[in-house]
Amino acid sequence: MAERELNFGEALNEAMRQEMQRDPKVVIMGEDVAGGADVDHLEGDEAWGGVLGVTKGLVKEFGRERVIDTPISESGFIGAAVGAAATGLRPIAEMMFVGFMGVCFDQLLNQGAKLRYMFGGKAKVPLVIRTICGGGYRAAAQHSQVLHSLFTHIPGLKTVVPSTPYDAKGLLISAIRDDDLVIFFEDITFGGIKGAVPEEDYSIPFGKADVKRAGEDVTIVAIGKMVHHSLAAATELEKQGKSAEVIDPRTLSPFDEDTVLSSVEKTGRLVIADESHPRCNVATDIAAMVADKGFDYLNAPIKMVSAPHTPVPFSPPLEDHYLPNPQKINEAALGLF
Amino acid sequence: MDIPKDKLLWIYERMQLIRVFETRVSTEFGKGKIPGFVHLYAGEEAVAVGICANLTDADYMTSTHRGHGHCVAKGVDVRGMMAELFGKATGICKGKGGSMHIADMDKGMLGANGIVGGGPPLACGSGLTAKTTGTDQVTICFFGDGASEQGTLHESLNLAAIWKLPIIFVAENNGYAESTPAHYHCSVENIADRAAAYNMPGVTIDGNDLFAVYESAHEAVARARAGHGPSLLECKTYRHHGHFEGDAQTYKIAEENEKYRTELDPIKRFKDAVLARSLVSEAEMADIDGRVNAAIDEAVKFAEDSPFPEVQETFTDVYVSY
Amino acid sequence: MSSVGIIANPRAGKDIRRLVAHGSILDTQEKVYIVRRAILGIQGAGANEVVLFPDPANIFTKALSGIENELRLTTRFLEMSIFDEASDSTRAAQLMREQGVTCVIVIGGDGTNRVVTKGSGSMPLVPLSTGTNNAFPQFLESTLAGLAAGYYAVRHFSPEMCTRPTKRLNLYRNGTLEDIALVDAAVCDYQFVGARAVWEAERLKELFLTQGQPTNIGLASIGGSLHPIRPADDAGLYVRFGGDTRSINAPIAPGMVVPVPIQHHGLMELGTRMPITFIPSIIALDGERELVVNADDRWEVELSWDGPRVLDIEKVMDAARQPTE
Ligand SMILES: Cc1ncc(C[n+]2csc(CCOP(=O)(O)OP(=O)(O)O)c2C)c(N)n1
Ligand SMILES: [Mg+2]
Repeated sequence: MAERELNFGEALNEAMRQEMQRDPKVVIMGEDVAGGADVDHLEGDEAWGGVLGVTKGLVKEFGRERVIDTPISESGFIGAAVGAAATGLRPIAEMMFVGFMGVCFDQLLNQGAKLRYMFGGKAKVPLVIRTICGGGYRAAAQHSQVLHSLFTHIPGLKTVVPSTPYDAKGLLISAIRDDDLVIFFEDITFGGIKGAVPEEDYSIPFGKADVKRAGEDVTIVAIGKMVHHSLAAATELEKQGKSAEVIDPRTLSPFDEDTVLSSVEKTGRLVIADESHPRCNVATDIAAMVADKGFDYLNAPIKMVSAPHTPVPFSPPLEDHYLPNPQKINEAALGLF
Repeated sequence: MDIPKDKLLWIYERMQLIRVFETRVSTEFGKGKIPGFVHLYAGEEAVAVGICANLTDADYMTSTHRGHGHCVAKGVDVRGMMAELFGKATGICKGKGGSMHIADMDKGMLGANGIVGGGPPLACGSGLTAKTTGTDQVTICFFGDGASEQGTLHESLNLAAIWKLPIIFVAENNGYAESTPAHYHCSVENIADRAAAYNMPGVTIDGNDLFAVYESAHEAVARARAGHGPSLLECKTYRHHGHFEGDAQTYKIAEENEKYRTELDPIKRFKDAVLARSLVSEAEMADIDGRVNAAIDEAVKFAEDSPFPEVQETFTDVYVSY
Repeated sequence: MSSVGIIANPRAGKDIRRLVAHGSILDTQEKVYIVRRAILGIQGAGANEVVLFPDPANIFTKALSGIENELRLTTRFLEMSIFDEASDSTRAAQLMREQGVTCVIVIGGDGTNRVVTKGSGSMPLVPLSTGTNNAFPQFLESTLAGLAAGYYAVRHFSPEMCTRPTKRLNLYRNGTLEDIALVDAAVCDYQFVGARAVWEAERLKELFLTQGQPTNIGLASIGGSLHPIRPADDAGLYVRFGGDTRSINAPIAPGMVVPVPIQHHGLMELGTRMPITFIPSIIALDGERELVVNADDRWEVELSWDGPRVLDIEKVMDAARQPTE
């Protein structure tokens, strides 16, 4: 089994390439996903391949029929992706930044998420929407949001938040093969993250959390970028004599309750790190689940580390203050002892 | 119409101020002093200035992600703008908005916008306020060729037309939306052709010709002020920089790029035209250049010397639930 | 080889008159349909080639893509680089003439015909009106224009019989020919070329006309009200505006009938250069501000019969009824 180091974007690119090779019904659509449409002098791989270059090179291999640049018409092309998915294609739509979901919300909320149910199971919507999320890039209020909680709230949608290149590839392959509408969140700060990724295609099942670090004294459930912060916090905690277990749920809908509950049963303490705003987010959701089903395991209150209930500020010191970080997670965990 | 001398000087000063501001932002961004993304307006100066030369501070404007030029043309203070880009407490939005969200309500500047197509409905709102309260304020709604494919724009054109709102929709057709050429993303060659479908006049203008923009805007603004409703001005132009700083711009056509930076440059064309008719002298323009350069140096120094906001600012200007 | 050219101006019909007067918007899609019908007309006449201008708005590509399965004649695009400016049309006309195209259908207004003329030489034009302010081209269904152009190319009708000469205005700057106009040259009190169109009567200072008939719209209508000059007449008209003794009512733009103060008017003789007296100024040629007249330049205008030859549609159709020799 050949493995090499890939960065986050390369892992995603490989997942899409392999799925497109395997299944001719898989198409990619989005703004500048190929780039330079109708520019005569451009060869496929000189074009953008998405704003972060994640789809770079795919147009060269699969052509513009399957890697489709769209106008800036999010309602239109996301809705078209829903319709195409319901009628036989398996689109991967790229919604550049998650904030832009605001533009096409009806097509997700009222169409894509509900067709299968409303049609009595007679429609499937095998669509993946890949989108960039997260703060830390100094991209200000509209381009730095973390909205996985919003989408996790909606029945009919599945939500995936990978934290490593390995998970990214395996989860994206599962997402493409899944018959439901999956929203796939890619943290903007992950560009530089590298990790071992097998060359062949493999899938990671939805609803299966990954224990990123085993520990005894406190469970930290962390989402997306928070996984890395929690691992850093765990290293610190170790020095302070506390052993933390870091769990990455990887998919929020479906959610792996068992892994979290059995960890809390072992540790008796729970911290949840979620970059979302603090109200009605995935952290509160997990906290409620554990309070309901694992109350007896707990030796201390559940602590949540989230961003504040404000938009994301632009100025670097403000954004740094806004964002959860290893230190905040560390303090939350220590407070439980 | 003739443009009075003081206005010609103002126009030259504003175009240069935008150019020097943007050139400097590019440099400071390159040095890592400006965080985040910046989308520069250089090359399109004649559009913002030609339009805004017909406005007062009371008039409104909605802008785009490429909004610095609109702000300068509307009279927003360049020191406050530069400090905003640096994320400083003295920024026009206290450092909380940054390049894509510069706004100045005192100047009727309703914000740059990180959402393509976010502005047009807001423009209908300020148009509605002016109409309802019976003022003669007009709203300029700037949007790009790319934004012309957003549903929000089409809905707004229709709203403005049926409510006869005092809005001038200004399509800044610079040929590209990011790396995608307008001839691919747009079903029509001229965005202004779409005006007919919304029952309003639509005009396609050479947006690098200050005088053409000025004259057309003059007529459209007069029409809007008189209560005769909206119009759509499409200004064909070109951006000198990449979509954002750092874009390799492989999609551009080399000769075209060169031509727009030289003979079609809006500032050069303005200069040539006013000199040919002896409306403004070289010396007067040199004098303005000096003042503009000094103003931008001053703005950068002001931004550098200003403090960052206190972290408590994170929690102001919004209802914080907890 | 019977070959007909078509040049369409993507810019025609989009100017500020839609804002200040009530000019209609001729959208690019409509031009696409006009071109399609012209091509089918040309084919209907039996011509075997149509040569197309690779316009920046892709009017021709779009036109062709809608009629592929109806086409039997060869379609060919000129090989030329496009800068999206007026001189594109001039070069296109020049190339067509050099390549032996028999005649060229011009879709646009007076201004478009003016730039085409600069390159078309002896090749006859079939001018079709689409712009707002037109005296030179004819309002005609493009299928017919195509048919007539096609017959003219296929049947080798004589130019003497089936085309007619036109006049033009030659503009000299300091003694050198600088530019031309097919219908009107208006000296205006503007600072700059700007939005190009001329719609404010008070800006008009002097006017030179090759023709002016009561049925014209635009500046030629002024001639129509003062002293009609037909396209075939051996004269032009000179008008000086201003004063408060005499005023006429003229439709100087669509939807704009305004009083125009007249100081003086008189006939222009062929071959005589008349000086421009209002200086500095801007000269509008065929309805569009074009030339900047500086204080220290000397400009003159001359009327001549050097305009393009224009296809006489009725005569061609008449001749086409006769059996071919
Ligand atoms: C709703 C939304 N979709 C996509 C983007 C990403 N984006 C930012 S600018 C841009 C291109 C805009 O093109 P255009 O409107 O022509 O303006 P220009 O950049 O040329 O000034 C895109 C796609 C966005 N900011 N908002
Ligand atoms: Mg653009």
